[in-house]
Amino acid sequence: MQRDLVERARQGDHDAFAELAGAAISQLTPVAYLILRDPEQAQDAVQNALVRVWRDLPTLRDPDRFDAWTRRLLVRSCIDEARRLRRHRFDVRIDAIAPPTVADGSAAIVDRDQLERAFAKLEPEARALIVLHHYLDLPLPDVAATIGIPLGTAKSRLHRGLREMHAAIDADTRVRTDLREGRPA
Amino acid sequence: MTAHDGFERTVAVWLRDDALPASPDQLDALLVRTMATRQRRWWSSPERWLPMDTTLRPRLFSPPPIARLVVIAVVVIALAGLLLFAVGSRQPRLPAPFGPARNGIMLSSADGDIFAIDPTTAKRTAIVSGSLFEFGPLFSRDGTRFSFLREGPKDCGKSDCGLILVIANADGSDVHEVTQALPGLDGVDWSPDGTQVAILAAAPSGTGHVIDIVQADGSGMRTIDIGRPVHEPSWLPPDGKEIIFRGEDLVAGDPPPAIFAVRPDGTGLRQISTRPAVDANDYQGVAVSPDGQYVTYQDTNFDANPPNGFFQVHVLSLRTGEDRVLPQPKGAAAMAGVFSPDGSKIAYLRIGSNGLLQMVVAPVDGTGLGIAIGPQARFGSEGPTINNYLWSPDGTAVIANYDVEKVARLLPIDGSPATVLAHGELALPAYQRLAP
Repeated sequence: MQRDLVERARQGDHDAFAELAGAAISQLTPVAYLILRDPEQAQDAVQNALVRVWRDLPTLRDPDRFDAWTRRLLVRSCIDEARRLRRHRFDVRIDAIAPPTVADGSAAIVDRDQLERAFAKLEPEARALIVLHHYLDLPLPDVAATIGIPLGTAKSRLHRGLREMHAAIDADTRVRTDLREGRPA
Repeated sequence: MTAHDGFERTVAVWLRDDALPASPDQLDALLVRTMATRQRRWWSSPERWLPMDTTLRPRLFSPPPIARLVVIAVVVIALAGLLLFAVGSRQPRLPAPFGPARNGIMLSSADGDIFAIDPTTAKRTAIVSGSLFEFGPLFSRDGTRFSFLREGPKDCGKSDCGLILVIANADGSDVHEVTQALPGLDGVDWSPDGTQVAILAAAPSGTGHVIDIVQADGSGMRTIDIGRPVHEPSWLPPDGKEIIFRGEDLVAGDPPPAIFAVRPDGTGLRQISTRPAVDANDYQGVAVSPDGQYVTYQDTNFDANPPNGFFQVHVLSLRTGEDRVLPQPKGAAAMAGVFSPDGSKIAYLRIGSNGLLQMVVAPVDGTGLGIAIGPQARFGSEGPTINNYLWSPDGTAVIANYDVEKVARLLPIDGSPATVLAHGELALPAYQRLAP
């Protein structure tokens, strides 16, 4: 079914592309948002990726690779968008995040804000790796192929990304604890 | 179970909770944009049309049948000799098999017509035009003829009606089709003696391509199917006894990509790349040196030279198997190398650590970083914006398209300023070689 749609879209059938794009948008938008952490930027990245999908469809050699190819274009679009964003935001000062005024009861429990901050500190490529593997549940060989890196590199970068997140959360927790207990951060 | 496993689960759960669904109006906005966007022609992918080498070998002449010699009397031989001498002396000389040649005309295409360009005046003259859509000219190695592609019939009843390989004299005369319409026709390369043309055509399996060897006189063709998808075929100089190509990894079950050689009759398949592929994108941009001693290609390795050095241009010795990477400045990538006509240099595209593109000419032996030629350009959303570059036959310059500015530039390799050769890009340009 999808192969038929891809074949028709390759021939310039816009209705077929609309059907493909409708399905793809619902899958790609959460992925883009998770990577970019910004709804508008995520929508831009998805749009740019799917415009490119439409434009370059005739050059796709194997219609059965449509999903993987689309994911790859999306990840590339997200990374481009993140870099563009970074270039335009170079002069924005990042203030220290204020600690919560009420203790959460357990420093060992990771809260959503901590995860958010730790994840946002990662490079876009590392965020993409984590999202592809832990959100889309793609096997690591597929993740590596999507990002265009060797399997070993994907494994090491995934491990490193999670380790960096963990370390950032640990540091964040220590700061919170110190502030709660009146020690200088 | 480890603490890390627990953290991974925490991350996975958070990602699922945090994911933002698509908004309903996204599709409409997208379709408005795509309605206004033309699709690329499938042959316009730079990956499919990386520039090939400009090696050249004069046509070989078949000896006359012995029987004819027997029946020809000594007096007739002498007379024929005199006649041949007289005729031969009026024929244009063909360029030498290797090394720089004199620059001839250039060919390109626009709006389905083939036109010639005078490189000195930039004057354009249509030499193949009409109602049929034609594009992709490529000179034979002796510069006397050129091939091009013609869109096949639109009413064939299939999704891909294919393309037809057409050959004409260099002045656009004697246009004749040498194949039927072939789905997936791609990657044309003339044999050194000009009697055959290697092309890619859609594989019978429906995935990827096989190599077809087409007789340039239109007398037939044969298929070389090695049981896996192939791409980027080039005849191996000096004699074309083998064809170099990339074995592709397109679908599950395909072996990793590698560079191979095979005889034109389909026998003698051998792998010539010496290291295991990094991934399915490895070993792209295959081009052969004019002396047949080296093959250049690009790898893909995100760890090679961070932050941008994920493509590296390699030079592989066919004689020793040595595979070396052309050196790059820190953090830079390099892609799509093309050998100079004398085989001593490679022109390639460098992606600097600042993300800007730059044409570079560097020694093949890897003894230096090379020199930058022409202006820099930004990396586009669809990839490199400097494309379809090729050497002038005399080896003094590189011609390159700058997509953003939509100009074709002549980039002298002695470092002198680049000049605009044509306003508007030169689609898949070809340069004629002439005897010095």
